[in-house]
Amino acid sequence: MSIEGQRRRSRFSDRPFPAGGGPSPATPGKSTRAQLVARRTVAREAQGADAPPAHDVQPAGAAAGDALPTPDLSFRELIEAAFCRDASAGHSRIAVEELDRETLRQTTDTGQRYSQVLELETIERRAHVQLGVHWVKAGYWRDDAAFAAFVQWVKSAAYGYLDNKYKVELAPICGGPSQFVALDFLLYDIPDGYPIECWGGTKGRAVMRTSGGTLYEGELREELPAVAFAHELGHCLLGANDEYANRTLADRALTNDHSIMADFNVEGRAQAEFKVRHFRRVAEAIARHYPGYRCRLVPA
Amino acid sequence: MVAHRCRAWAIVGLIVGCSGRRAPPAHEDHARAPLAAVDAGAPLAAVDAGAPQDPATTAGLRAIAERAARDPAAYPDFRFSYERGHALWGVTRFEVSAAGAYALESDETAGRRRRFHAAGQLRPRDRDSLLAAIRAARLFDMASSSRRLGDDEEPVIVVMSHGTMTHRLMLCGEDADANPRFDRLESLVQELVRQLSGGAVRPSGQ
Repeated sequence: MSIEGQRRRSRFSDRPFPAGGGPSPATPGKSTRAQLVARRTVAREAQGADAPPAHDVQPAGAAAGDALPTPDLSFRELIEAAFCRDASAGHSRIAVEELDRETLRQTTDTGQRYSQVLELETIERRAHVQLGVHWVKAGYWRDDAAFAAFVQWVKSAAYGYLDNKYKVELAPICGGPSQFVALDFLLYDIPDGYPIECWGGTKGRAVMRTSGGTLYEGELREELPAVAFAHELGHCLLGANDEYANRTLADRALTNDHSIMADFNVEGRAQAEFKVRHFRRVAEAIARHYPGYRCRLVPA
Repeated sequence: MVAHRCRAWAIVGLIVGCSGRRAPPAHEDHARAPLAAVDAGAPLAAVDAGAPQDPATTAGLRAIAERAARDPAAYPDFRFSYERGHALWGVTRFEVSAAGAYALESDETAGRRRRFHAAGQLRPRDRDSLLAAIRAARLFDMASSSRRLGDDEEPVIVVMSHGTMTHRLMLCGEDADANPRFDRLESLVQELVRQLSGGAVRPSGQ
C-alpha cells in the first residue's frame, strides 16, 4: 500500500482520545481539538521511515537540472511551468505533507489584535480555525448548567454562521479539475485561552478586545439573536473589522451588503452573513500550502 | 456598578414620578432616517474629542459651569451635550442648556425599530439636578480616554460649551462605566432620557 494510502487509512481509524484529552463541548459532529491532535499523531506515526518529512520536500521547480522552459516567460509563469513538470512527473508536493498548524494574526481597525490557530489537513483538504477560550463566569448564574448552556449557545451561534459557509477552491495551474478545502471553526475550552467574560443576569453591550471579550446574558438572548454573538466572535475568530458607523472612527469602511459585521439591525438580521472578505486572511494562509493551485473562496 | 446605577435610577425615578409631570410631545419615526441627517448644524456635529483643550477655555467654562449650577439664569446659554453609542446598538444624544431647553434623539429603542426625537423644556427641578450633577462629576478635571476603543465598545462624547468656548470629553464606554463620578452623572442623564421618552428609549441596553 502506498504511503498516502496508509495515511488515509490511519486517518479514518477510530482511536480513543488520549488520557485526559477528552473532547470539549462542541456541536455534534464537530471535531474537537483533542480529536484533531489525536488524528495528527496517528497520521504521523503511520508515515513510516521511508516517508520524507515535510520540510525535506523540495520546493516546486527546485530540482537539480531543471532547465528553464523559455526566457520569455514571466517569473510567475516560470514557477507555474516548473510545478507542472513536477506534477506530471508524479512529484506531488501535497501528497507528502500531512497536517500543518500555523498561527493567524489580525489587527482590526480599532487596533485590537487577535490570533487563532489554523490547522490544515492538506491531504483530506480540511481547514480548521481554532481558538482556545477561557470562559469566565461573571455576574449571576442560576447554576453551573445555566452557565454551560450559555457558553454552548454562544459557540453554536458562531458555528452556525461560520462553519462550512465557504470553501477554498484549488484550481490546478496546469489544468485539471478543481479541488476544495472545507473550512470550519472550533472554540475549545482551555484555562489559558482567550478570556471571554460571560455576565449572567446582566444587561450590557458586548465588547471584544485584545485582552479578552465581554458578553452579557441579561435579556440579550431575547433582543439580540445568535447573529449578535456570531458578530462578536467574528472579531476573535477571524479578526474581522466592524463595518458600521462610529463617530470616533471616521476612516472606517462601511458596508451595506448584509454583512454580519455591519449594522444588521437595520439591514436585516435574517440576511446577515459573513462575507468572503472576512475569510480572506484564512484563505491566504491556506493558499500558501497549495503552491500549484490558484485559490479562491467560494460558497460551500 | 450595576447595583449602584439601579439605586441612582430609583432615586431619580422617585423624584420624577412624584412630580406627576407629563412628558412633552415627542416624535417617533418609524422610517429609519440616519441620525447624521438630523444633527447637521447641531453642536454635536462639530465634536472632535481628540482635539487638545485650551487651558484658558477650560478654566473659563469651568467657572461658568460652577456658576450655572448655582444660578442657571446667570448663564442660560451654557450647554451640556451627551452622546453615547454607535450605529450597531444605537446612539442616544441629549443636549440641554442651563435655561432648561433640551433636545433628545435616539434610536436605542426596542429592537432598534424606531427612532425617537423630542425637544422641550426640562422642569426646573430636573434642570437643577442635572447642573448639580455636572458640577459634582468634575468633568473639567476628567481626561479623555487615552486608549483605543474595543471592538463594539461604545464611545461616550460629552461637550460643554458657552458662546465660542467648548470643552470636549471622549470616554471609551468601559472607562465611563468604571468612573464613579461620571457613572453617577450618566445614570441621571439616562434616567432623564428614559423619562422624557416615556420609556421608548432604553439607553445602553438598560
